[in-house]
Amino acid sequence: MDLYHIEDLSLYLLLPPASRSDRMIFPSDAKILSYECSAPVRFFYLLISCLVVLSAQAGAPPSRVVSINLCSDQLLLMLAKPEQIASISRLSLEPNSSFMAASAARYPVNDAMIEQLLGFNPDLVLASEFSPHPVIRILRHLGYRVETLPLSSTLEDIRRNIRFTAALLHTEEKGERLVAEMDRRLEIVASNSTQARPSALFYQPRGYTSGLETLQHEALLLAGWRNLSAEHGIRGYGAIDLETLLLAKPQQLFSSAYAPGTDSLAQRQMHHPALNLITRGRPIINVPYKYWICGGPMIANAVELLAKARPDAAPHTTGIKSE
Amino acid sequence: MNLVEASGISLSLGGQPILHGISLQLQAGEMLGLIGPNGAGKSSLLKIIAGIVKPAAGSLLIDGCPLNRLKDQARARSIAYLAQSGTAHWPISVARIVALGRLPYLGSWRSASLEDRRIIEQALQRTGLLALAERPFPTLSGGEKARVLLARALAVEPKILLADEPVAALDLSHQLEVMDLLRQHCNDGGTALVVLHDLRLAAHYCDRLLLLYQGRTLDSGIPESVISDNNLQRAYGIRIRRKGGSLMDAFALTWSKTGDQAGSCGSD
Amino acid sequence: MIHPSQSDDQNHHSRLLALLAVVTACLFILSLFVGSNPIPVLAAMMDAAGDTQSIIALILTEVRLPRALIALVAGATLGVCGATMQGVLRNPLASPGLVGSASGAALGASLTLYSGIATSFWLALPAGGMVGSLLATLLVYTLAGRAAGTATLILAGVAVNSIALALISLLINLAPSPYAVREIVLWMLGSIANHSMADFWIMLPGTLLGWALLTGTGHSLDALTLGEETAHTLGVNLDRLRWRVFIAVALAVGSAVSITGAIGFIGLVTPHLLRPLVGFQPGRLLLASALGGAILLLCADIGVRLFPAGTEIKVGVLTSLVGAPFFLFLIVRSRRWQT
Repeated sequence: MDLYHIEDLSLYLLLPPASRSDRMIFPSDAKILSYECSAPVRFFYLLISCLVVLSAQAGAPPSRVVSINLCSDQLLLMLAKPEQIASISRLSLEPNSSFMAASAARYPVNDAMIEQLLGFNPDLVLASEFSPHPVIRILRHLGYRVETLPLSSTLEDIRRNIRFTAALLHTEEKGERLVAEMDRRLEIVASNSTQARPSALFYQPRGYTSGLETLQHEALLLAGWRNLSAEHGIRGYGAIDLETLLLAKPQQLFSSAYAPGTDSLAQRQMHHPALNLITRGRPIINVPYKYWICGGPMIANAVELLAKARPDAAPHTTGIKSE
Repeated sequence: MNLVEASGISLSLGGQPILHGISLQLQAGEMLGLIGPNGAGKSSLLKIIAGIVKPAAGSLLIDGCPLNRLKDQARARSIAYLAQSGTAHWPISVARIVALGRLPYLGSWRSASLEDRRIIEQALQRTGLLALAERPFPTLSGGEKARVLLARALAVEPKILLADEPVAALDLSHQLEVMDLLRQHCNDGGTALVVLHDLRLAAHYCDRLLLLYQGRTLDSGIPESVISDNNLQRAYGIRIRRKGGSLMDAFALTWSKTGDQAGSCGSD
Repeated sequence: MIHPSQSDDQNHHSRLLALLAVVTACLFILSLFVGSNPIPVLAAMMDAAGDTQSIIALILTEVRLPRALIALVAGATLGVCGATMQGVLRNPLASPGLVGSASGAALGASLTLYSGIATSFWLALPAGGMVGSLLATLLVYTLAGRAAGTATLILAGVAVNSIALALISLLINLAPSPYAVREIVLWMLGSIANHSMADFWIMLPGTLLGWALLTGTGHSLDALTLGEETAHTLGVNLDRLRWRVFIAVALAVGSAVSITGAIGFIGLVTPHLLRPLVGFQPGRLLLASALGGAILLLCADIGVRLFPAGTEIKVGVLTSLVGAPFFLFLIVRSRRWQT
């Protein structure tokens, strides 16, 4: 895992300052959370995905798919037939960040190293926008088919990525089923919501929080909360200082422990007594990171958890499967 | 009673023998000159008596009490040590340096009392430094620095004053001034052990001399008996050319001070 | 007749200490008023005093107060330890930062933190800092030798600082916590943001103990002005003094650094600025440097909060930015003396 940290550091330093944020604390995949995508870029991806879908339907389904990124791993493991999967990235085994860790254990893992990938002789390589560019360039240069998944920061992005991946794998039906199931669960949550929106804030070690254009923001709104970070003008993944947080008076704090049981100055900051006092003794609620570190149908789990945490959530109105 | 009574003092440093069985006594009112060639062990002997270096063998009584049983503070009040080419590490004023001599009386907490200040004042006055009291130490001339450090030692009001080459690097007039002050200290009932290279000053000022050679006592006694052709030949390898008269005439102090500067005090 | 300058001198010194104390108090209060958001501090004080748990009272007592207290205590610790080390080593460049006490403390503290030992009992973190600080100080002292010249001492300090930095980097890369890797900056440059009263209570016992050990060493440091041998004949037990100072520095710097990281240059600069004002007397420099260190760190901490850079910079960045050129100035000046 340390390897990822070092990669993160170098990548972090290479990024333009404007887009620098706390992506470093995540394994490399999670960077997408904070990536800000402009409208033309989104359109471009949409165009590409249409072309891909058209072209993919023409040929035979891929049979040796390699994924080199946690987020493409998740969708691959959900959508592909087991015999289609040749390898997934090592992080998929990590139960804190990988929703599909259990099924991931059956497949060979890779570390996104070029020599290793060639050994699988893939007919499709799935990557994310943030996968190491040299690896993707070399693979393409050698004639391998590489598809990169754009980030998802909204529900619409998630649906699009599911359908896009399903199309690549020729498992469109399964994709539609996943989307429909996710939408059904979110609909139940939405129907149980009241008008009043209590305030919440996603708070991470070192004072980082999720503002506009993040999955956390989307999930908080879907669960009937207000996202105070977004209201303070934070876009993507950014820092909020303690005083501003206290003045914003969140009724509830959520967090996602990435490495429970470890210690660092950053993690100690989460135990600041003022945090407990501001929420009148309500502890920070931990949302498993695997629900929303990557865009996927598991966002419904996060939304259900968030909705259940609402002060006005009555037990009989939830209709949510217990965790 | 002897203020200092040392017997059988021996010392080795790094396996190298430095001193062998040195004995000496110092009585109140007495000034003992420690002479001998370079490397004879004069400074080491002084440091042993000052308590800086522990001897390998021998006994050392200060005012009848073994030195190693003396408390740090008691020892610091009885013995003042004037280091060879001493200096100050910070640019402190003259008055503050002299005031350091009162530290053995202050403990950790107390600052100087009126009595302490009077003694500091007196030390400054006796060394003729009153006018320089506020000057930073590094701005002084070599002679002034030597007098400041002597004033610091006098401010201790010690019974025993140990001075390691106190007149090295001083001009003729300042040499007399410093030696006069040391003599005065003895006349006031103290005692002084002074390392000297200038045999004329030694013969003129000291009551007795101790001649060290290769860590052993070559001779001791009154200057007239220690400064002999034989001793000079053995210790220094020199022969004195005489222009008639006795040997001691060659070591007579043939100059004296003219001005009545502060701090000068005729002694003999 | 009593020389008039001596009692004047005492008065002058008392006035200086009083002035420094007043400035420290003013800066402490000012630092309660400065934050990322303007809050009505007086109203907040009323709320806090009257047990009204308002948000502003919470910000004052749980965010700004611990920060100001930590700046005060850590600054005073660095100042007094710098002055003591310069006095005992009779070297104007000795200070917790250059001699390795601070980086050793950072190493010891990060070792206990990232290994998880720090969660086992509440004093584990500062205890790690103290042990690290003591070992690093003794290592430099042994490497440089008893009568080390400035150059030798600095070289030994550079070597030990490099070793400590390398070990901290290694440790942080091996640390199980994913957040560790970014925290090397905190350890090597120092920061006092985002601390709670709990952190302050953790650092307080060791620093107080260290200060207590240092009080009463003033006369001995004065005596050392005349060199070790003469100091000995003035009744100073040098071995005991050295151990006392090294242990005191380890206790105080170890505790402070384990909470704030190795804040640079306060320990070096403070004694230099104040030395002429106390007549260059090492003993008098101690209390003055404690106050001066607190003043410098409080100023720096207020400075970083006012810094117009969006997110706050670390306080150690500011102290190093100001302190490093001062260090260069000292080197240039000492070179001029030598030639």
